[in-house]
Amino acid sequence: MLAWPGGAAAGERILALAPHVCEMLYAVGAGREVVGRGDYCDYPVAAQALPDVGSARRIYVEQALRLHPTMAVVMDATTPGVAQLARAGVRIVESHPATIAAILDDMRRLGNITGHAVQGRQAADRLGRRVKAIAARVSGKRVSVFYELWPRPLMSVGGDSFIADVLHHAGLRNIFDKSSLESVRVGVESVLRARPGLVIVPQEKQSLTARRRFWRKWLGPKVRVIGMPADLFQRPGPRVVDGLELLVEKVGRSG
Amino acid sequence: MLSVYELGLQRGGRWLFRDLSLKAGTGTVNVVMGPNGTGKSSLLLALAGLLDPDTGTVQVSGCDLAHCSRLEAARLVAWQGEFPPAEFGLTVKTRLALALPALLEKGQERLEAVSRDMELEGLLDASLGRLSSGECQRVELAALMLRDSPVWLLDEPAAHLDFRHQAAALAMLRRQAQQGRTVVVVLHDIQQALAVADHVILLADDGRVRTGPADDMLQTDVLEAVFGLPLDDFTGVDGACYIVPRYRR
Amino acid sequence: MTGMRIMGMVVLILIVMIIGLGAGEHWINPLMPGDGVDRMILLDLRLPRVLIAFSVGGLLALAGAWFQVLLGNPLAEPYVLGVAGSSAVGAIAGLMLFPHSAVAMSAGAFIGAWVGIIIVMAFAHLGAGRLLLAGVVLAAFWSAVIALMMAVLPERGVMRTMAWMLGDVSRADIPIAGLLLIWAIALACGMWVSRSLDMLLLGERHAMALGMDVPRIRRRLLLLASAVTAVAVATAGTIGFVGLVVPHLTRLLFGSLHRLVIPASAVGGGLLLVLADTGARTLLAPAELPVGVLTAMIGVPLFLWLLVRGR
Repeated sequence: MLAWPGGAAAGERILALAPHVCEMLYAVGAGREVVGRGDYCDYPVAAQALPDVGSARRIYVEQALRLHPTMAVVMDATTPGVAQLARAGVRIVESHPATIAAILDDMRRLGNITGHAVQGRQAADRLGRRVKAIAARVSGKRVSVFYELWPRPLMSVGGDSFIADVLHHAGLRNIFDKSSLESVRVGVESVLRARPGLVIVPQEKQSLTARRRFWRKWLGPKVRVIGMPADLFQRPGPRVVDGLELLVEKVGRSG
Repeated sequence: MLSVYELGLQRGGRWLFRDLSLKAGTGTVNVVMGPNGTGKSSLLLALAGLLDPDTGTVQVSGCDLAHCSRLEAARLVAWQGEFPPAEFGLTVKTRLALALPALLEKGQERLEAVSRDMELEGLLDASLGRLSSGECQRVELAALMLRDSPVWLLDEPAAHLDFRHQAAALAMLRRQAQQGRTVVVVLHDIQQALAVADHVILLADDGRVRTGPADDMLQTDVLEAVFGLPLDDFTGVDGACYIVPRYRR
Repeated sequence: MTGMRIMGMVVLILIVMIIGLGAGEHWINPLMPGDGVDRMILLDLRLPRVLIAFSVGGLLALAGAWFQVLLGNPLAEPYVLGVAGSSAVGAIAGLMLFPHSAVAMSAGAFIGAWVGIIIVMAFAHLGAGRLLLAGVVLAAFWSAVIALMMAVLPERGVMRTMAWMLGDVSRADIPIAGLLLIWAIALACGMWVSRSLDMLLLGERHAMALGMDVPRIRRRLLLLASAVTAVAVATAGTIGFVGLVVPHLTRLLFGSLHRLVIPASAVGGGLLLVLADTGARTLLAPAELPVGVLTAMIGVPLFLWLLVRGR
């Protein structure tokens, strides 16, 4: 979504203030125009060298303005500091995609406004084709899945969340789809009653063994517990398609 | 028998009084008087062992209070002072029961007898927060009366009381002294002091202390010097001595 | 009279236990759970949860009753001396140091609670009023440390910390039997010091005049109340209002003598938390609310009502 419609212009100086934004900008070929990033923007590796000028909770306005930015792409325009950037003449662009389709749209849009319209469209189309190819592979019976966003307190994702959309594309049925919350605190009891055939645990560094043991205790030895790299899966950026393919592959693999 | 040797108390780096020595004999009423801020209440706390004196010692029946356990000290000395807090909804009956020495036989009967004495029978189930100040004072006096300690310390026992209860409280003190109790009591009213005192302890603003028999101390010149206010004395038709401040209108 | 009260309490416990075990996303008859998943849910999920909630609630109410007497202030609660803050700091530190350990937050909270307690103990010789002030200032200090740590914590850590601070009794890192044993020991200790607690209601000076060694008893009570708070916080996070409301309510019902207030608080606090947790996992099922939200929603109106009524 754009703060205001504007013409394409090359030579922007862009602040990428969310990890997925950073990934998208590089994917559409605007990487060289990115002059500052938010923390946790760690992909691609080139982005790590850029100065860190904000987090999801606040923008460090002084450091940000010192980079003479002309545009800032943020997850949420109400984040403290964003209004000050706008007052200083920086163009504010919001990107908060909630579905895979929205990710592709945002890539096209970001390509347009940064002067990389063609590259943006091509990158989005390539990803779109991969998503379609997956759709062809997964048609059939939908396996019910519990996505363990966080173990304690136990949290999962509701139907309106971006992760739920990814799960759908992978041919899975999220057991908490009925909840309209983005992330939802649940009890083991509810999971038990829904009897998912598959549990997905997003992984950073920890081992999967403890969680596997935990869920086998409750759901029986036959339940499948698989781990997924958290930043492929929980970031609404272009790499989510990598995550999607990896998931489909893991689910398809027997065992 | 209460003996005090060279007692000294400081407050905020200033001496309230020093070198206070006195003997309060068994069966005597000793009245503490003096202007505000001279340390009357603090003296009482020190005598009860509730405040560590800066110098000197307090002995009760030959025991040094500083070397007694709290329980021994409480057995020797009973103290009546501030009202207990009312926030926790204590009832009169509970408050009195807490004053009863543990393991006392016939505690309940004692409690009832004392409540009758202080005219508290109708208030036993009321919580302290609902009482008037005078009623609270009577509860505190009743609580003191439940203590078997040989020495009683009272801080303005007549405060908040109406005339009739004031007279009853003073008569109670005399009665207790006759039964062998040692009483030390802070009073502001000269007439009340004249009615009960055997001995008087006068604390002055400059930290000096005078003690002596009531007949010598409760004289207009002595009191005028300490309080800085002209006093008149005369003898009533009953032959009793009256000392009254010369209030101006 | 006492027999009637005990009978009443037993009946109340049974009713609340049946509600706590039976209610949930689906009602399960606790007496006839049948076989299969219902039985598993009842015995392996709801029963532990009810027992954890009961013992934690009881501990919080006991600690509240003790702190109120200790500080001469009926508005005191277990976290009044900043123990909640220091244990939260400990929990976050545990999370930062061992982000993938299951027990790091509980262990950190327990250690943090004791650090807070040791600092407060240095002020224990001050009177109740100044001790309370020291606690308020320390609590402010701890919340500043929490804010600092939250600022450098990753997003998911913040989420986890917030959830921890709002309370969770769905599982415990110490065996439940141990937790119940601690509850029983705390109750026994409370009964043992009940006469001292009564005397302290008269104020410290009167208690001393009646022969109580006030400084020693104060230290002992402070330690006891703090230890109990530390266990409760480490197990279930900082659940508010149970420690404040329950002792109040029991004083209203049973008078101020602690021989009744202590057992009534230990049981009443437990029952309140069982009910609150039952509500937390039932109201929006399958979504769960943090139990601290429920205790506040029950506790605040109840407390305001008590305030108005008590006048």
